[in-house]
Amino acid sequence: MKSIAKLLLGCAVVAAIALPASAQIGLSLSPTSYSVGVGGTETYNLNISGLFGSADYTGPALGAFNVTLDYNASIAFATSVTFGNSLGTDLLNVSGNAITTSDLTTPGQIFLLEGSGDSVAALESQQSKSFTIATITLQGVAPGTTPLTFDLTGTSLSDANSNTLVLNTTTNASLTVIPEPSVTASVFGFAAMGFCMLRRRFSRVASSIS
Amino acid sequence: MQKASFTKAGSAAALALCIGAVSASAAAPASSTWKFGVLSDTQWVSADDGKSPESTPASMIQQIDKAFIAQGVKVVIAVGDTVDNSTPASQATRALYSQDLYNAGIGFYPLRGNHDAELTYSGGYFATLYPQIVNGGINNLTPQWDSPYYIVNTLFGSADASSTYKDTPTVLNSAFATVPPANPPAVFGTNTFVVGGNFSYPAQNCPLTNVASGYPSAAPGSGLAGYPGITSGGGLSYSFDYNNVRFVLLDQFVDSDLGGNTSSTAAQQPWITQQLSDSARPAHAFLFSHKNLLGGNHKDNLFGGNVNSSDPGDGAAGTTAGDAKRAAEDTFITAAANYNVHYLITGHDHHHVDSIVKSPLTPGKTIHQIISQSDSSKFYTPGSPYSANEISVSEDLYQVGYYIYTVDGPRVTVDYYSVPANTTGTFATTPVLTGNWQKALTFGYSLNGQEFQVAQGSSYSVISDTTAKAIANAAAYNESGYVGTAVQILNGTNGSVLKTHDGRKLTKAVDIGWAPANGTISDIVTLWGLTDLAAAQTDTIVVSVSFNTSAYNASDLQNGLYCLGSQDLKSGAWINAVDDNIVGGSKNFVYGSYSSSYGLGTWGIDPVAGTAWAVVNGPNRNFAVIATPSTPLPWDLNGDGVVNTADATLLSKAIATHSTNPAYDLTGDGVVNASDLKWLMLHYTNVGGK
Repeated sequence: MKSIAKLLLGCAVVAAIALPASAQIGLSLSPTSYSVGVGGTETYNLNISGLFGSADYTGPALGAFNVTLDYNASIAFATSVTFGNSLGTDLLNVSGNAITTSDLTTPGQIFLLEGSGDSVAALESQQSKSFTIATITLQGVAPGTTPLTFDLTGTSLSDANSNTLVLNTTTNASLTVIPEPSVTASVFGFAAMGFCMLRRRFSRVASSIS
Repeated sequence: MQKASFTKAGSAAALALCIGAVSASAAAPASSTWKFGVLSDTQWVSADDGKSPESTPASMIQQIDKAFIAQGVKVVIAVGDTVDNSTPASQATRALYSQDLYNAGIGFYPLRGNHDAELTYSGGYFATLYPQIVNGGINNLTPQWDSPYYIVNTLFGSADASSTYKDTPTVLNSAFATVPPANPPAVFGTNTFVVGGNFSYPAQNCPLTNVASGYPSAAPGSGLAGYPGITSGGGLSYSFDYNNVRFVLLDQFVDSDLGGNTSSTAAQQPWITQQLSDSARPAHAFLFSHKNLLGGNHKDNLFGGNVNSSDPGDGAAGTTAGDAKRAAEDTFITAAANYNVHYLITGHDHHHVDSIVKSPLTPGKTIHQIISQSDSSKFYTPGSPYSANEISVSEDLYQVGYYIYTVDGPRVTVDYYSVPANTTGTFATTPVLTGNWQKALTFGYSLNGQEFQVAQGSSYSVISDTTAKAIANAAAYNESGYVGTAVQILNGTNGSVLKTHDGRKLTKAVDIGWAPANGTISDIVTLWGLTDLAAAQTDTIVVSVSFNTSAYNASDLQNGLYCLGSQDLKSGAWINAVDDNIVGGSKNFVYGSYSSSYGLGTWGIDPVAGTAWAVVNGPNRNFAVIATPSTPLPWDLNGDGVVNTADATLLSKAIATHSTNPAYDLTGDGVVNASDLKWLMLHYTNVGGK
């Protein structure tokens, strides 16, 4: 199941890279929905797209970002954040001089911040129009569905020259937490046992009547 | 030529048929630094999205006007194509959305573009809707419009029953019943005010008299009274003075000529030259028109349509029509150059361009054409042919934009603000502009300094200037206190690789301006044009500024107590110039002359040459010799004397907690966000911020 999701994700990234020149700058989470058992974890990619400039048709590059995501803490909690993609490639930190901050201590909120220490020229040459800027892992706590949404008051983007980039679109995601198989089995087991006990009692009553 | 001074509402005597002169003085405001704004091509070509009635991007206009008001401009110029469709309803709708400016006490002065001239009597309507262009500058006497419907049907309709002059009431009523104007501004200020003086207009394109050129003679109604609000004659080209600037706005059009390929500019040239050469002219003069000299997309220009498909705008060689265009353009550019006009500010092409246009006939005569970024829903892409007489300086496509021109004595600084349109064609939904404006580029010039052109790969060392001209003309610019200073770029190469859309390399136009010493040891020199579009830094250059070293203690000079300073763009504080450097080398003081082996961050005092010098690449423009500051830099957030990751960590916490502390707003855009973090990291004392 996960490999299919990764394949789909790969297709999505390719599609994003092939965006037309008029693409708008967007932040997205992928996949947009996950299902996980209680106690299970899933990892979302935080992607930027539409880095299209008009000055020289090569930029702008992403130089810094802060992103705030909201979710329902009664259903899930954030366990970890990594900067860059799942392979560890961080296109804001090739020189190793980036500053990164994340805060998962506020229930229901994820805060990420990264400022690149790479030069303007390096950022513009090493970045593509779309790429993954971070991964976020959530763990299921209780059955239910929680949205994972961008909090725009705590989100901003900067280009390599410290100009604010206008964020045009956001694509949110969700996590559905389903009961664990063991829990499901227990529930069914107890139900079956109860059914048998009731059946035995009813049969006793029936035989006494007859 | 006729002249009139702007006067108060109601006191202007009605004078007939373009020969009026109204005498009332208009005292120039005393402020030495002031601003005017420019917007262009307010055309909405998509279906009305509920915010853009009658081909007018009403919401976009309001957002831009809001920016003008916030920036404190005194005058706004609209360089044509104020609407996409010049029906009375469209024109009246556009005029309605000027009211925010009027209410703020800001003078609004439009000129026509080809889209404003596409119908019969368009000129007459334009003059009626903007009486300030014919009445001498009273700009909140716009007709008492409750709605475009009122204007067209009551104002025009009552005076003329012909459907030639107006849309039918039914059509308009229906349109505005279903799509009311989006958030119309408060209607009607009651106070009148005077914006400028020396109002003038040519006889050649007077809308009320020049029947031969296609303008109405006495319609609608009879005579001037047929155009309500017009109390004196005037032209669609006009000029006026405000403070130390003469604004000369040119209308080349004939009604019912959508393409606008018939041009009366050449016929107006005597009046244009007179406005520029006038002994009463203020220090600065700006020329405005809708069409360009050399357009990127449009090859028709200020002097008419293109002669043939190989005509880039300044005339196809070997043709009679081309020769005529070149002669007219030569006269125009030569007059501008002879009378110190730096900019022709235009529109029409729906993108930003700054280019130096050379006269096709007279060597050495040039003018910058500033093609203004549009405020339209449609965008054009440049295409060939191009003229060899054009040197491209900057270009920016597919944006919505506006300009702030800040006039400070002899110095003019232009800030170009934009928001990406995210399309190369047409958008259908009004974009959110407020809060998204970015200052994309700053350029400028000064009447007391020189301009140098530096091609890509060429050395900046050609740049040098002194205050000799500034001192000689100080009284004329009402300045004093110059101590006598020279500036020179000792080293550095134009390393930009930016090109125009069609691949022409951009040239740096580096302008120098001087201001008297003011808390500084030397006079203050401004260097415009070193930064590329949207870039935070310049090429690495060595700036050297002279001062009288013999007046200072030698040991103080040797110990670095004086330095080349630069003025922080946000705070205005003077800092060691190398502290503005981007990802910046090593800060190292040298007592002696500059050597090419010195890297970015090196600064020094040369006692023999009598200069302070520094190897810099920061965006600050103003340089002067100063006493080396001992206080922490404004962005040294923990005040420990270095700018590094510790400061970035502090700023990160501020961003995370949604701080509104202006100390953390390093970019000065009013919010504390990722841009401030990137700005800080660009200004680390050492690479990597360790």
